[in-house]
Amino acid sequence: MYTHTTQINTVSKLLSVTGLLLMPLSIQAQGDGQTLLPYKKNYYPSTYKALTSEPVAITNATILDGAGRQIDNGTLLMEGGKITAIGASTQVPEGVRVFDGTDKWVTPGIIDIHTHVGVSSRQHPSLSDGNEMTGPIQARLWVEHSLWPQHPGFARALAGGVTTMQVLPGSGNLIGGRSIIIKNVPARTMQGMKFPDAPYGLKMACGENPKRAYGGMGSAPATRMANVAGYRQAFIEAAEYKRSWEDYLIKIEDGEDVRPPTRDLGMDTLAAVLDDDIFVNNHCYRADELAVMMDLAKEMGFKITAFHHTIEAYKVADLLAENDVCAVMWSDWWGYKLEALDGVLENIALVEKAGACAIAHSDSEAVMQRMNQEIAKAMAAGNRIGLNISRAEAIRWITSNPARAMRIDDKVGSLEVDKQADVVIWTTDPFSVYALAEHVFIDGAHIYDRYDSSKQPQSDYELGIVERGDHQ
Amino acid sequence: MSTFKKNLLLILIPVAIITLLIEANAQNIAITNGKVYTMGSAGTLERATILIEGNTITAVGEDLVVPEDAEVIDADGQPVTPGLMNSYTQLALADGSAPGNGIGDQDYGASESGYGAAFDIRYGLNPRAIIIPIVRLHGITRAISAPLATHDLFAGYGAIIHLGEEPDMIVTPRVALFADFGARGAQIAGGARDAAALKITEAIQDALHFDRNRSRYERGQTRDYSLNRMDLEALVPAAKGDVIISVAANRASDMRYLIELKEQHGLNIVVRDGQEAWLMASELADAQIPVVLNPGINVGMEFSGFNATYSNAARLHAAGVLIAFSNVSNPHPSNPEIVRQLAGLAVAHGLSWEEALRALTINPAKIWGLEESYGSLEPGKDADVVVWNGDPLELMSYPQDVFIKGQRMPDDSRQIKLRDRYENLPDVSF
Repeated sequence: MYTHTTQINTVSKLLSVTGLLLMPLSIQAQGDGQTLLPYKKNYYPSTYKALTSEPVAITNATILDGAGRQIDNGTLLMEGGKITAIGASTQVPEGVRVFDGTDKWVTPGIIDIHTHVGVSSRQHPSLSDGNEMTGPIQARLWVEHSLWPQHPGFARALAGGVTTMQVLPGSGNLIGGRSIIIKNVPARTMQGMKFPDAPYGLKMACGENPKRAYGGMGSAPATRMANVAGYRQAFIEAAEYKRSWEDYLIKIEDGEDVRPPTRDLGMDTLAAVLDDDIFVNNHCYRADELAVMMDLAKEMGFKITAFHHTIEAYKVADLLAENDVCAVMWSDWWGYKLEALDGVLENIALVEKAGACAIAHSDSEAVMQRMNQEIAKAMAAGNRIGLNISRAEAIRWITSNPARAMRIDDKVGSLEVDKQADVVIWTTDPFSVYALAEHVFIDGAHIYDRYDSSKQPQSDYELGIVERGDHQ
Repeated sequence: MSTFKKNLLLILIPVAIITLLIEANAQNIAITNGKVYTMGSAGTLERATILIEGNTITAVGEDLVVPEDAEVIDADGQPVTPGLMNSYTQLALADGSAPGNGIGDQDYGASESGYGAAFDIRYGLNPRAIIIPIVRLHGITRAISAPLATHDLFAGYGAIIHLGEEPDMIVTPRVALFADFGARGAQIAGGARDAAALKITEAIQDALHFDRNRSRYERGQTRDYSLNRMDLEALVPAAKGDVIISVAANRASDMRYLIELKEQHGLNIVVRDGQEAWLMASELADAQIPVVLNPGINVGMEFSGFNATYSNAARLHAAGVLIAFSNVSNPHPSNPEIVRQLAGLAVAHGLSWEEALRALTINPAKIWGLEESYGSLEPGKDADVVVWNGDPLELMSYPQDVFIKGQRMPDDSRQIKLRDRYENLPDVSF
């Protein structure tokens, strides 16, 4: 998909700049597919540019690197938007800005894999743009076309250390549409926040929400079995659609003069899912439904990357590990509907213990601002029953594990050399309720400073109404 | 003495002794070596003992003699606090949890009933609701359980409940009348705050008029009232200022209205929510209006709460406003226990630690008229006591022991049973 396109563009530029115009044949051929297959194209490209940064050293800090390590009295260097060194005995070069990390903690920027910030609002119906309740299969939708960059929730989340997020369509539909991954920076446009070279996700939803929404209107789905029939039918059609385009490509290559198949926006997206260019986020609560969906994915030839709101993950944690599917969970939410009745506090910890990929998410503008607190509660619950989970392990639930699920783990999610310098300095142990994000860096740029209101971005929405930074 | 009588005595004496022992064990408890946050005049005691007899605390101090028959709980230097209170919930009014998407019985509101002020949640309370053991194991022993506004500015009466195992969970029935102003009130009243204000004034006037003209009302000789007979009757004590009216409102200008309302009619008002209350902090303090707030709200994505801030609690307290906490406004009220976390958040944003603990204990006792029996660890009060394993406001601390009215709560809940069932996959025993 457009990941490849961008890479090819970069490669061509490099090659032309260096005068080496010998483009490898395989990439050339792939390039043709990119051009011709509508579902491989990048129509709304990112215009995100990292803000200006200066070389920075954070010294003497307790560092949780997101890759499973805790470094005491550690030093972190960043320059040119990237992490350039990390360790206990790292030397600080001359001429860099030094943040004294004594008594402070450092983590990767937090990644929230499940939010609706910018596309929904409880209070403003006019900003309710995340749930197209006009038909259960909405693969044609791209949530980025709803995204309102002026939502104040972005800046709030930044003050809580969130540097990357996936914004998803709502859960009222069986297939809700494409997600968008963004860098949490203020911007005029959606494209200005869009995470460069990140893939799209697809939102699917099991269980009560779609069947309640449509069953209540007297249309399908009204039952869980109709939910499943809905996904199956959609992917059967998508496979046919994909085949028709591939046939077309072959004929073109054979020099035949053929008309391209008819475009279908929804099928574009599902075909890209079948090609594994788009990863699947499946809102799904109940253990039995998780097992059905894992079989369904095999039947239809796609992969479910992550189940979301997985209240009952702990009941099938072994199956999740076996199938290499992540579970995206809350620390303690439960009981607000029947399929959420069996929530337990040890859910995240038990999934971790089973060797599956555990992720914590917010789905809430409030919780998103304190995701560090959520994992502290979840870790404590696990350790109460003797699971011995360390801070260095637990921080992965909101850093490298979601990065992996979102397929951006080569770029963010851990503090490793050459990765993007998305970094948070905390006032104290982030597993404490008293900890606050003090400084936040995105691509090495010092974008948030708790003690300097000029570094506390404010949306247009609040300008002239609220004192900048006074929400803290 | 006949052999029969001897034999009978041989049986009865041990039975009597055993009975006495059981009673003694059930009734006398000594919590020793606690860092006791009394929340009372004794302040914090570094190494103290709390003696409990039956439902009641009998002594708290550093040099107490532990009775021989007392069950001793060694707190090992850890914090001991009063049981915590959430000052606005719908606890025990729904089967699974608090308001959700239709699990079983839901008794927190009746939009089709036609009743407003007269609605009282007391018979809807279910002490066997699944949520009760789950919440109390987090150290919450008391709560306001209140109706939700549906169609009327007056949602009805709520109660103070305890979360123990007794079949009657009501501590104070009809503790307050719950009402809505602000954006929600405006919506209910037909579209504007001034319509809500008129309806409130009319309701108060009608209730007082009704109260003065009961016999004429029975004869059909009064003017028309805006409320039905049950609602009029229910509104009388609140209209006279004898019962608290808890009013939800967020915008700073709403606070001014509530201050005026209190002054004009002599009402006993407690603000609920109050996201912008800090902008009127000194006025609220002068008017002696307490605020029940959620310290974790700082996105006022309605124009009513633009100035919502994590510093609300600290600023209100600094101005002298009596504050208590709840997770009011939380979209997922299934977790009333998170008030403890929210109190910690208020501390992170400038409130003193001691005041945060007060806002979960002695402050609600003062606000809700429960100071005689709850809110501090002092002789004569109900023995709602929590022994913690660390800072009670910290995320990773939890209660080692929870006592409600002198009863030690079992370490068990439906959540714990589920966890135990699935802890060792793939071995699951149904």
